[in-house]
Amino acid sequence: MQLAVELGEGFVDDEVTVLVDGREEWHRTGVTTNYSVGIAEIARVPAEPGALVEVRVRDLTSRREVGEDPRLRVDIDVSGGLAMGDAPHGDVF
Amino acid sequence: MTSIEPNAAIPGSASADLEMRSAGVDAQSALGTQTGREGDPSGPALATAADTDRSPSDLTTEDFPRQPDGTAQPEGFAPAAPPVTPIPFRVASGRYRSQAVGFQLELRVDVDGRRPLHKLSGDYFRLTGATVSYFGSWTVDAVTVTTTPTHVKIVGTARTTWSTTFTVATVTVPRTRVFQPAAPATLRWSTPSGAIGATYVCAWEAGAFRTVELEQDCESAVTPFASYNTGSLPSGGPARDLGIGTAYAEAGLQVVDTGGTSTISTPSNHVWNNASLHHAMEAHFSRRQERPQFKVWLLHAMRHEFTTATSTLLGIMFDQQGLHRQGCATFYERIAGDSPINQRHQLHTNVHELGHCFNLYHSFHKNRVEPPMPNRPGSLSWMNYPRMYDPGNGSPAGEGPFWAAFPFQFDDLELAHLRHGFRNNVIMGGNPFGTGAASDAGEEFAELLSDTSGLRLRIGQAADDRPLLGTPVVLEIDLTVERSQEVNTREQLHPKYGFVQVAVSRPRGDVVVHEPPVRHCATPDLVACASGERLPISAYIGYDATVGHLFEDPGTYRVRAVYASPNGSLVLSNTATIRVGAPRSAQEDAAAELLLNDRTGMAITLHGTDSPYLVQGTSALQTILAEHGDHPAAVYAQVVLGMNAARSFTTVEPDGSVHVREPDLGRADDLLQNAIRASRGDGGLDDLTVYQAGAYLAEAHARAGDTDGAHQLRSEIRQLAQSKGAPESVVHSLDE
Repeated sequence: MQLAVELGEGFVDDEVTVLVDGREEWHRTGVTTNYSVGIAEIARVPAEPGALVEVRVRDLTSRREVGEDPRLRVDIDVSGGLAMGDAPHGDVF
Repeated sequence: MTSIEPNAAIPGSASADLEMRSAGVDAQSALGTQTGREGDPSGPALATAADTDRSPSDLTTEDFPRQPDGTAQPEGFAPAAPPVTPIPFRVASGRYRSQAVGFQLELRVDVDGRRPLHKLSGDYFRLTGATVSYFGSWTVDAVTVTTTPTHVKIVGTARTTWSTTFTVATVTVPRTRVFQPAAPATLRWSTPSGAIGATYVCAWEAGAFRTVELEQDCESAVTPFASYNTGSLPSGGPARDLGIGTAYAEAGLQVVDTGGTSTISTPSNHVWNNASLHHAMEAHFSRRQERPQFKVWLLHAMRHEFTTATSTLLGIMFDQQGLHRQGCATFYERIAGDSPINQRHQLHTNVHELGHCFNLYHSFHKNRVEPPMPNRPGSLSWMNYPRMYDPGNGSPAGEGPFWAAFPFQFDDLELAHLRHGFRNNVIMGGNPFGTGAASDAGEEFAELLSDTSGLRLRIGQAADDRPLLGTPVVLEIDLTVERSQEVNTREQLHPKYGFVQVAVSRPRGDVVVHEPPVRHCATPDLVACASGERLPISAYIGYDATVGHLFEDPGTYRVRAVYASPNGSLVLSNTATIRVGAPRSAQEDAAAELLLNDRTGMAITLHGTDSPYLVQGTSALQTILAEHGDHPAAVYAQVVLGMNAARSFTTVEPDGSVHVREPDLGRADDLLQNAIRASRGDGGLDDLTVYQAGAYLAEAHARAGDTDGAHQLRSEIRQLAQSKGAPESVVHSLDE
């Protein structure tokens, strides 16, 4: 399936890499959160349930096993920590 | 640039008695009779108000506070009012403006009318020569109001974007009846100890605190939102018809739809992204300019790429390129149609996205604003998400409770921002999205509102648009003469002469007006230029006399310059963005350490030196050349060391003896020719620095008696300049 990795809050001109089972599937520089929607980018990568998704930004890394939901959310909190979890459902504006 | 400030009084000038002036008749009869401000806008004599008082027949609904049902009526004027009821007074709140002489003040009084915030605020505009620019803003957060039968007096202490001791504002507004012309408001500044500053008399301009032009376009197949009756579904406020304009009118802002909505044809199932939205804005927003202005573009579209299987993007403020916040879009794929729920969504989304253009963050993102403030998840505001609504204390949260209680309005803090925020924090194209705090950046990036100088100043980074940390930042400053006139010579456009000043907004949040470490005091050397002539020059601006290295952090810098022309006009440049990249390896980190040393910065400024005081800087440049040859700064090290080698250096020893180191032409040739060769392609030095280095080397050869070598060098550089299409002023400077 196609997994949407939502790069959310806290990104500022960052270089971001998304790997699936250790293979680089998405890479971009200049990733910056648009706070009018709380999203910087949506990285769409091929990944099946059970695959291990890894996001690297700055010197931070976060990993998570893909479930049935085709969306994942990654945020950098105000203290600089990287968090990956389920993407919230609902409208964004 | 701020030696004159608008709140101060002229020393020795008498200050007129405010109470006398503030009486309505007296103040009005004084209009047009005051003199003495022509020479100094900050003086105590009255600034005469523009004669824009309107007759009663000119009154519009803007003059009247909104009624609960959304209609506008004169205060106290219910249709059934008995005829014996005294004619009510006008509200004092609204926008006033002083005459455009020297400094012009836009004054906002907010003490009565709809949702009064008990604040004052204002923006100053400076008129210099043939140019008008924004000077600064001030806000009084809390006021004391005294109302008498004849006038309303408002007093409070102001925060300002510039430095002044005259911070106590006293505003007096004569009370007039609703069918009389609005009286002018008089503002007098004083210090906390009572010293009197400037006085401004400001004619009434509008009931709205700010006016914004809205241009709307529509994607084919989308029916744009018009209005929604808030009584259609349960809500927390009175039922009334709300559109975008009326929603903002309730907030005290006038949104003027400029009309001319055009349809943007797209293929079926078209999906927008932020880049295509920005492109569409550039193509279709007819009033757009790359400068701050209260003008905004709204696109009604169908679908954005951020929509996913379980989340729909309903709207976005997409404009984060260049100057931010000039455009937004609403997406109708899930909220199209005229059902009350969808109409309510459309109203909410449209007002909400425009709120972002005014630099408002979500209620749950306030902690991401610069500087941060607490989130307000319990806010019943246009800027909250219904599903994120959480009033706390165990009270019902989420969509249902939000809609049941939502009165269709901004919260008080947002209202204060919209009405009274410093201009650059609010205006579209002002501060970047999210930078909304009181800052002193405004005056340094003051936008010209009017420029008939016949001159255009462009700046840009001369070489690599994303320099690695430590790489010298060289600015290209390019003056174009659009109407024949005398201007300073090309050489004198270098900031070291002081005719051009450069301001840098840094990622750490401060703004630095660049002070070149070496100043050249020179009388203006003017040259007559024909229409169309260009005078470009490159200037190293990386090292500053006050703060040292200007570009010492990775991140985004905004740079702007202003040229003080011989006729007194202040010609403002575009804003250039310079993104400094972080070192990506230990090698690059080590190079940055060497280059960001203060002595290195000074050595680069001086184009090299033998001074023992700067030996650490010279040594750093030699290390860059020897051990970091691939670093982008290596070519600059070659130029600096080469120019130094090309000339003699005189050292006065402690015993008073003088030692002269003679030019080393061989070394100069090696270094400068290598730098020039390395810059013939895309990398290396910018063209102007290449020409400068070549001309410098030729001059050294000529001084050494090598006239043939000098001639050949000049000829080569001249040909290079011509082949690259350099302006005539540059080619001419390379003549022998």
